[in-house]
Amino acid sequence: MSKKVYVIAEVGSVHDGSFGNAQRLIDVAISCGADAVKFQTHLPAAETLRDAPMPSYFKGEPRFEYFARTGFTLEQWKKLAQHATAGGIEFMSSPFSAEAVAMLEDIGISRYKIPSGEVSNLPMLDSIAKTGKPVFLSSGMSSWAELDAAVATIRRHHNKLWVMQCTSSYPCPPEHVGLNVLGEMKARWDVPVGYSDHSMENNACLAAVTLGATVVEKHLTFSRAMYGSDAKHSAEPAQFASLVKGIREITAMLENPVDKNDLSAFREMKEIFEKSVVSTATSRPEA
Amino acid sequence: VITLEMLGIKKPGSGIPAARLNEVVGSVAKVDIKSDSLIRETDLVARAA
Repeated sequence: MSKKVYVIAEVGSVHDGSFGNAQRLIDVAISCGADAVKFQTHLPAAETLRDAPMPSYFKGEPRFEYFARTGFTLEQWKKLAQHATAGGIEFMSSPFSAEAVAMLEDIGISRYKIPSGEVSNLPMLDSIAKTGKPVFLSSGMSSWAELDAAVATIRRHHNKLWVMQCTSSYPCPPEHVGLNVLGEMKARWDVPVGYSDHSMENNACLAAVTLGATVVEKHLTFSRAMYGSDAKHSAEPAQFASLVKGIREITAMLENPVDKNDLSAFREMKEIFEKSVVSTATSRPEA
Repeated sequence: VITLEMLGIKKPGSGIPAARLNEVVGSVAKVDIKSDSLIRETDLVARAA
């Protein structure tokens, strides 16, 4: 990865099971300037018991049924991946079960994002690490000890690893963003760090990039009015495009330190705006 | 001898910089210096320091 910050547009399941909407979300991610578009591969029978407790935002429709209804077939996933690749954007999707990892291998993804809820799923992490593919590890609901175990599991196979600060609150208020954690992660594991955002604005992502995040992830939706658990906390296209523009500008700032002693650009400004010693009376040479 | 009362600090910045005002105080004019004009280094007799 170059110095360019890697921007992941997380579209999750906001397509609501519509293949056409999924394609359009890829198109929107491309037009916003994202480097990757990320879906979620939920295989409800493989990842949840039917009577497992659900987050409050699933009160309208049981989670099991929602994920069964909004999933795609292997052939559809492959077409979406091809659609992304053809548009010059990386196709990613998070697995929530070993079965989903196998499916993503069939689809042919090149890197894995491990969602916050899967950090302690060490058997799945092991099967992901065995593929040898680079891993983005999230951290939204995990302690240092739990993250140590996840990092060690990946590192038993390889060290192509990014660790991402994340707070699993929807939405995440500024007070819980945890910018301090970026440096702590970098020091703890000597890894490139990233930031996965659940706040409403772009500021947390921009601050994270300023502090050295090399990968940033934020939710993208057509509209906050869409159905589903994520839409109301996601960025609409105009906000996401503004985020990418801001990240690119901050990268340009970071890559171009200014030398205050180099005044070559200000010679004319100094003459126009600065001041000199002038006479307020007539002086003559002394006789 | 040029005294502080005979000097001012004004734009433009192309003359003796304002920060060096104190160096001009006490110097001696080598040529006629008109009121309300920029003072040049070359207008002044070099000081014995």
